Amino acid sequence: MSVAVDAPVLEIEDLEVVYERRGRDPVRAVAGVSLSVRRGQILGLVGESGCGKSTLARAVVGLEQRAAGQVRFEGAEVAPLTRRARPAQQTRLQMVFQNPFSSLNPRRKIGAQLREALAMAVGAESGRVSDARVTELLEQVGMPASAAERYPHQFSGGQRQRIAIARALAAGPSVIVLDEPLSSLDASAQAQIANLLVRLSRELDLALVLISHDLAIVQHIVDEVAVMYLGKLVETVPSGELWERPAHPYTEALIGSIPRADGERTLPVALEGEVPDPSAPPAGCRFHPRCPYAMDRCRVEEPPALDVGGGRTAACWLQEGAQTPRRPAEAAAALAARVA
Amino acid sequence: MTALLTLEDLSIRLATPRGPRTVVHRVDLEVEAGQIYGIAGESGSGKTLTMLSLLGLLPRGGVASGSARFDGREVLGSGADASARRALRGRDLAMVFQDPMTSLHPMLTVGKQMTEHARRHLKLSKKDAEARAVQMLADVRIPDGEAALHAYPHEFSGGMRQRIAIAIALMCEPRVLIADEPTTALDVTVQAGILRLLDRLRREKGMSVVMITHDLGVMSSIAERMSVMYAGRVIESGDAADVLKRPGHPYTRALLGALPHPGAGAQTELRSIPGIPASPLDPPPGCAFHPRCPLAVDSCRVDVPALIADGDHAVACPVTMTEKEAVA
Repeated sequence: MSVAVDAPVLEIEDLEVVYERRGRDPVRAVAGVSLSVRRGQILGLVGESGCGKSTLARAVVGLEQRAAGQVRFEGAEVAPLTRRARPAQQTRLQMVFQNPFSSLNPRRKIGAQLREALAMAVGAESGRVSDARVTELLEQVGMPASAAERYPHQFSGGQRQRIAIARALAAGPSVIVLDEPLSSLDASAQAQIANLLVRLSRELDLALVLISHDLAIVQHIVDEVAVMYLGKLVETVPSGELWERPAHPYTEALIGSIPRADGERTLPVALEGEVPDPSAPPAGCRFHPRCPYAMDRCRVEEPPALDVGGGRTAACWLQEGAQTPRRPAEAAAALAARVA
Repeated sequence: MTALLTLEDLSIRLATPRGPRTVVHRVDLEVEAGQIYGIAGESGSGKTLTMLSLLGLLPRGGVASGSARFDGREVLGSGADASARRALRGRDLAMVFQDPMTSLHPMLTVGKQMTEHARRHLKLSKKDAEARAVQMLADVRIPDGEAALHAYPHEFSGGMRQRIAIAIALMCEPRVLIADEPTTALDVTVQAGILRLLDRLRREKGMSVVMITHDLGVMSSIAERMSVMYAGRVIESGDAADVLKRPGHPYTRALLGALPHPGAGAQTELRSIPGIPASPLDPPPGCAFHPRCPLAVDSCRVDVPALIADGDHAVACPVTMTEKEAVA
């Protein structure tokens, strides 16, 4: 494999987004995040409401001002959006939003909206885009050609999300950032869209950044999961290892709180406490007030993203010096044994 | 054990722009004291309407027929025992809705919202009602109840707001709590806390809970018995563990099949249900699930299958019924 193939298509370095508030402390919604996405890779960014995952997504495509850090797409810096048209090369970085009903124009036919996106991608006029291209785009997302003659309200939520994805595909993207693309859909549509995303990524060698609060569905479809808590990443892990061997106590808590439909009537495990105010995050590790393994050090010193082997990182002192990723309970037991 | 709440042959008709439509068909269910009963189904399956009819909260023009008995007394229709119905709606039955941001009044303090109905139905003094409210807030693990009484809903997180909504519902010590997707808008870690709370209330206070949810994981973790609804009909019911482990209806099987499997690892195809849920206003003829069903035969397109019980577990599907016989 040549270097060019392996090079990340999207690189996020020490990204910070700060919301200033009149008369109140500013909120560091994204408090220093580094991530990279390879060509054709599906990355899941998971966290609970308020953790900053949507802000991060918006900052990546230039919809939020950055307070610090860098975002590079195909080697070039992504500038925050202004009134000027963005560089043509960067239209290959696309975004799909949570609610396809508000992101599609309700008063224009689907065909016209796709035609416009296709024309924009090649710098041509809409009239020059052939019907065949529009049909091809619709078929790529599993919609019939006849959809072009209809309006957004004539489709179900799942179908509208397909159309929103088709519009993003019109630009010939190499990366699509999707913010909660599944959460407004019911179970059957969710599975359909999830499968569609995986197929598109494989067929088009397309990288996806999938933002979601739903760890169970995300780990099904992504290659790698990044877990976010209170503006920071706590863990990055290949999705195959996530369930069996989470390395960060927060990830472990998230997994334990997901109820399983196995008919065993097991209550999920609750995480103590509430998410702290992001304008006044706890000192030391941001998770320490809710962490069952918290040590003195965790209350004062913030853990960096430690390399725990196997291409994984975890921001947890329990994993310090680890050669291979360990479950928090194992790591805590090993540490206690060493002290004693 | 005798049932605390019994629905028999409950049907609901709504006025629609295209005339009256029956959207809930002949629902039977029995909830025992201290039991958590789950009703599963996708949006539009009629699970919420069925319960709203007990509270007299059907949309304008909505009519419920059949029978609903609470503690042996009829509470539905013209044959209803008026005092039983008043007691039921005022205190014996309480409801918690999906979104606490819309079910709580944004401009009234938590204290006002908690004590208003308790003072009326239990004839408590303001002081006693407030003392009780502080107790209820402690029950749902809201720290510093005294201060919470003087706070407004926006000052709390989503999970805390839902716990406050539950505390309000508990003020009159209802015997049945109807929880309509109470955790759908919440994060999983917060959801886990609410599920544990509901289970604790059942154990400690002997309260029954009717849990309406589309999430079979939630159902599995908390419900003792369950019914699955599709397009206004119960298509399967029984012991929750039995239904989830040995689902008899193709729809229940498909719902379970479409769930992500924890630990399945990367890129295992999710099995999706083809098509979209049938509209209860205009359901397909015969079995409403037949256009999406992999097992459908000719008769499914014509006859509405009856709910047939095999012991404790009832299924409305003649196809899987015969499959079972073939195995036996």
